[in-house]
Amino acid sequence: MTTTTYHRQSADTESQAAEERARALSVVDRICGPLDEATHRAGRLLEAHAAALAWVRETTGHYPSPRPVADAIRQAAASLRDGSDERDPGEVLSAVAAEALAAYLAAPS
Amino acid sequence: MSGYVLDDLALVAGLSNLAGEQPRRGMSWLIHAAVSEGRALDVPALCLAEAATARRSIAAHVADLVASAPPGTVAVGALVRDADLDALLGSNPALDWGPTHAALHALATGHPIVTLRPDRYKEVAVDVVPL
Repeated sequence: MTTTTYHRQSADTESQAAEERARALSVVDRICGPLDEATHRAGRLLEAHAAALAWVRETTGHYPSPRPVADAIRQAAASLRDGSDERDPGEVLSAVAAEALAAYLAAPS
Repeated sequence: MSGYVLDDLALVAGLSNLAGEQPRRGMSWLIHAAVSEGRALDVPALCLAEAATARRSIAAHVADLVASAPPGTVAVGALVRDADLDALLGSNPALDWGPTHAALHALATGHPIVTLRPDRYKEVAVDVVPL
C-alpha cells in the first residue's frame, strides 16, 4: 500500500467515524433532547455517585460496597439532588465515601 | 470501561415524562455519555420487556440506540441460566424478573444498577444509583 493510499483510507475511515457519531448524536437528540445545564447537573451527580461506589469497590476489592458506606453515599447524593447545594458532587461524594469507609473499617465487626 | 445497568423503572422514568424531569435528565446524560464517551449501558432483556409493556415506544428507542451508538456501547443482555441466577432466585424468591435480571447483570459486570426505586434491591448484594 502506498503512503498516499494509506492516508486516503485513513481520512475515509475518520470521515466515516465522524458521520456515524453525528448520526448517533442526532438519534440521541431526537430521543432525549439536547443537553442543557440542568441535564449536566443531573449527570454529574449520577457520575459522582457511581464513581464513589467504584472507588469503594476498588479500595476494598469487593462488590458490592458495604451497606453502611453505600447508604452514606446515597444520603449525601440525595441532599445534592434539588440543586440548592451547589458544591461539586464529585468532591462531596468522594469525601463522604472515604469518611464512611474509614468509619466502617474502624468499627468492631 | 465504566458503565451502568438500566432497570425497567429507570427505562420508563428516563425515556418518558411519567416520573418528572429529574429522571429524564439523568437518562439523557447517561445516553449522551454512552454515545460520546463510550460508557457502557447494559439493558437486561427482561427489563426492556417490562418497560415496553408500560410504554411501547421504549423498545424502539432502545433499538435505535443499540443500532446507532458505538458498537457494544448500548447492549440488550440475554437471560442465561447459570450459578448466579440459581443463587439469586434461591436467596430472593420474591424479586420480580425485571430486577432479578438487572441484579444478574450487575453481579456479572460489577456495574451499578440505575433505578428509580433503590429500595427494591435492599435485600440484594448489588450497588445501586438512583436515577
